[in-house]
Amino acid sequence: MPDRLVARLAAELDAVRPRHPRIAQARYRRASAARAPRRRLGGLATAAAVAALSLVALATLATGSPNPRVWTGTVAGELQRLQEPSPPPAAPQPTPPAPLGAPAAQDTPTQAATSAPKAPGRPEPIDNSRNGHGGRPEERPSPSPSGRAGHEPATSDSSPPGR
Amino acid sequence: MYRPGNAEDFDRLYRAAYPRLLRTVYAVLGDQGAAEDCVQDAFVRAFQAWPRFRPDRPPEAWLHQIALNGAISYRRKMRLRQVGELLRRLGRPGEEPDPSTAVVAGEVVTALSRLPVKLAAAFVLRHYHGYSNREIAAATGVSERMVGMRLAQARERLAGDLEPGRLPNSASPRVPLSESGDA
Repeated sequence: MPDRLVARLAAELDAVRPRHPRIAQARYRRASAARAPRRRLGGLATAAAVAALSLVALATLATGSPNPRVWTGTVAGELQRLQEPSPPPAAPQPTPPAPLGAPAAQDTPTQAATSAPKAPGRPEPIDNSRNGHGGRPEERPSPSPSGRAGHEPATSDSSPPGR
Repeated sequence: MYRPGNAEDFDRLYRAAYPRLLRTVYAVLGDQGAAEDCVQDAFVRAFQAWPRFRPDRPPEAWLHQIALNGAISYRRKMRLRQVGELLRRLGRPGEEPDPSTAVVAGEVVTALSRLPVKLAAAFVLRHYHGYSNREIAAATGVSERMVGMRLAQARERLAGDLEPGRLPNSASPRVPLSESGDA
């Protein structure tokens, strides 16, 4: 190859001046900068998807059913149960009788003086559960003509039960 | 030494390699605007692949490979576009290009841009950038023997194209040989 041709090639190529020689003008810089918010959005979407899947898995494990209707029913039931008044606390255990002669540890003399006369005068509560009936004394089944309480025909009742 | 995935190192590579890459692709395409476009695209692709770059490879040869692949695609697209335009213009008077907007390439670059991309790239890398055959092989992804064959073919075709009396091969020589001062 003659050197002259190589020299001409060098002269032609050396004359080329890049139009975007600066880093700030480089396309890859702009492309990567434009991709950054997309990456952030992609990360957020992935996090949201993972959170949603975790919730679904937790709900399925807690209720034992993958059906969302069951989840809502369970949650509604739980909320209803929490809103209902809690049952009365159990009766306190009777304390063992203090030994004779020992002073009461908690009662002051004034308290003992005030409570002692009241105790005999307090009426005994009537425990209806002991008689085996369970209901109030005045609630007695009305005698039916047929003698079978609670088994009247539905036609005789104007408002059927359950309505 | 360039660390793969390091943005500052990639910026350094851009500063060092961009002008050389641009001149290679310009020699292959003969159009500076298209060459800038191809090289910028090559850097975008290289930046995306930068974390996976193998440091044992010469980085500029790697960039050359990406840019030359882009140049091959560009030429293919241009050829298809030219065929499309030719079909569209059938039966209509042809539009002459505006000489004020045309960027005129030199005679050697024009002759190079008529060669296949692989031959022109091997020639420029060898005789302008001073690459060894091994480095050209790394940049173009072929064996050294193939590089030697391509170089010989490119020389032969260029000599035939630029030699006096054989230029009628070209459609319209930009500079008459009598004015070029090299005849």
